[in-house]
Amino acid sequence: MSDHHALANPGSPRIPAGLLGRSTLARAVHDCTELVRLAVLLPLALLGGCLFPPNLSVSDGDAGVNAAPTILAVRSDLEELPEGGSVVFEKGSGSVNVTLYDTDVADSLFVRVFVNYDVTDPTPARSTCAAPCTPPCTAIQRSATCDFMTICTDADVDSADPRFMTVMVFDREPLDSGTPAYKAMPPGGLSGTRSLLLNCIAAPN
Amino acid sequence: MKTLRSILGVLALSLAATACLSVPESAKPECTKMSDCDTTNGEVCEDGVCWGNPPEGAFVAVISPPSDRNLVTKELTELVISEQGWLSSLQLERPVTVSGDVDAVCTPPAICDRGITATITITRDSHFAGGPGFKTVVSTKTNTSGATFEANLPRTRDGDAEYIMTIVPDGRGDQPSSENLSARLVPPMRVELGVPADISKVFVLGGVNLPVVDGTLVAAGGGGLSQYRVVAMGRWKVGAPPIEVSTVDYTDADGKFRLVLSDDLEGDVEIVAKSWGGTSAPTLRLGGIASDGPSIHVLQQPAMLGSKATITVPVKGKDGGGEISPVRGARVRITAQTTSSTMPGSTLATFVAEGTTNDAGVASLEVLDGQAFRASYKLEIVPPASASVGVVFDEPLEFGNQPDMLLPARVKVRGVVLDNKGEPIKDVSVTVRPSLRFAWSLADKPQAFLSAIPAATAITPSTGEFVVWVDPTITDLWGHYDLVFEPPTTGKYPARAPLWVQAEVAIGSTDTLSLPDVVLPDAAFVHGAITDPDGLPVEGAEVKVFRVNTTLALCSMVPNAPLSCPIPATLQGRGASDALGLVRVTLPR
Repeated sequence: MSDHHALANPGSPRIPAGLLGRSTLARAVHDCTELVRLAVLLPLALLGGCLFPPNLSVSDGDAGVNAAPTILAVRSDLEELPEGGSVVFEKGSGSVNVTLYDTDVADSLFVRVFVNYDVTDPTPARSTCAAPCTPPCTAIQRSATCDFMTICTDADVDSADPRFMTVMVFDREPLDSGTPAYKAMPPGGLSGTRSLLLNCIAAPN
Repeated sequence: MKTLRSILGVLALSLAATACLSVPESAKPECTKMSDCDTTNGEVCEDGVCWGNPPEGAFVAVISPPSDRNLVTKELTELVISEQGWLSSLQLERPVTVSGDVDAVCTPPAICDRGITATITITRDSHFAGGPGFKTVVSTKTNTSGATFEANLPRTRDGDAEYIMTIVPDGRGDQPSSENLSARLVPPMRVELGVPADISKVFVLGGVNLPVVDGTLVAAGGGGLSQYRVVAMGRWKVGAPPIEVSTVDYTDADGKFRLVLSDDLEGDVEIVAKSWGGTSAPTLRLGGIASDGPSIHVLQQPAMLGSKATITVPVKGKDGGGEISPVRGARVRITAQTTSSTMPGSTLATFVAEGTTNDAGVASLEVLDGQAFRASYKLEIVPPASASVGVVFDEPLEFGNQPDMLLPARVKVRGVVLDNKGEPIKDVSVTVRPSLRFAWSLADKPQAFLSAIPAATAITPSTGEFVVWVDPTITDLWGHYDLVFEPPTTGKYPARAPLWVQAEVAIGSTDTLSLPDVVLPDAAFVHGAITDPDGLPVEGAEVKVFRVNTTLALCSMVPNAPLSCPIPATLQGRGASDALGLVRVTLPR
């Protein structure tokens, strides 16, 4: 197929080649075809590269969608605490190490431990800790250590019934106000939970 | 022209690379060849990390399996670390099983084979001083053969302490239950046993020769006190905390109760009678009850208790901006106590009301308005963790409308965390908690109060700065605190900064305590492979490395250390195993 050589607009003035041959600019541009190519390609390359940066992280999910953080493991000084299982803590001692998973690697994660939390009579977290995104923020798995010295109160020690303990991870820092109290987050925040039955024993005399 | 083209080409590529390829910065290996490491001290380069040259001295360790594997925790009383940083013997073990039936003693013609549903707590002291020891809790399952249980434990070896197994019958709720009468039939039982191999036993609770305590709860004006839960508190071992060591009884209108005590108790017991059914009534206590024989007692309720009244306590404090504002989430506790008479052996009546401040900073508590307690109410307030306002302890509470309770300011402890090269470290978790010296210098009651104050925490920004808030005094005793610094450990190439404790930071009378720069010591990276008994890698296991505190001088230097003076071993580092069972630990040098 032959190219169509007709002018798109027959009304446009024709410029004889001989006239261009006398133009300094035209001659320079004609001699630097590479420059012309680069002048066209460079902005495209810049734009293309900038607008569509390669996502080299295997851990990222779909862009723009916040993934919920999850708790992979909760470990006391002694053992991994099984989901839904009974655990024993001595009042005034101990800590737990929480292994967290969040594909949003740039999110800082906040751990809160509640005991017998009741939406009608909410009480603040008895233990808090955090796992920030540590530059270069590539870890989808992180850990945080929460002090458990105050997880058991005198009333818990006195109680014959185990307490319901929830270890929660938030991907936005819980707010000082809002509902549910002590768990409310800025819009878009998500959380993960692990529940255990807490048995409290007194410290040695 | 050719030169111009080349320059432009390079320029374009450079621009493209720098401006457009927003490749996420990846962690950098600290070594690529052996000469990058301190080979003269044994370090080796492997996987981009210089391993080895561990700190001198003895270490102990605890290896914990993941909960979904049939393996048990193992203590290593001597952790072997090679010069090249390899941790040996990180092999977990299979458990031995203790199982059996829990029955009540049977005295014909009573119906025999009565399964007793129970909660069984099994503990064992650690193999090394200050170690976490072993604790597990299991419940019985009811089936056709009665109430059975099974628990997995580390095998008992020669020289190991025996397990202490406490079997506590169920049905010990605050209110009587018609569904489970186990706790009303038989008292708890304590057994010491070694478990060198799987064992199965029948545990028989109760007995015809056990001591029985009979008694009556009597109202101030005469007549029995109903709706009380009555139990005896005592211990099997000197220095152990008091626990429930009898059957549980619930009083009817005649106020009578009968408790069967457990066997082999140490010392006296205390009868504790707590009201249930929504009535605000004091708890009655009578101590000095012999635990080795039968006895009969009367617990007399004090007179002039009054009726139920609501006290609202508005709690305020200075917020971050210096404004006085309500404190939300503070735990408010009101206590009082009195005796039924001034005679020795009279009944002690204690009253406790607890609540949490709402969004307006107000806690509403139900108390008794009679003269018996009116003059003895004391107030305790504990604000939420990391608040800049402090606690109130044992403050007399005037009955009636409460003025705003302004919490005292805490002392701001500030500092900067640096690595051993003097560079600030980001994302270090800073936790401040009372030192043992401080806690054990306090009497029992303030010591218990101190242990209920949540630890303040902070995370350092890129400048390495931190601010944590502490209570300067408890009962006029100036505070001493331990600051625990835990650098981030997750990541392929962790920071060369170890977990570190700055002990015994003394708090003064100033509003702010500016600490000298906290320079974390150099760190050694060590690693190992956690395997199962077959030598296969175990993913999700954890190893914790400790140093044992050999100096116990503190125990004799403070007035109120526990009898067992449990100075904990100091955690040096911890790590969880990956899919190949490999675990990495950072230790302070």
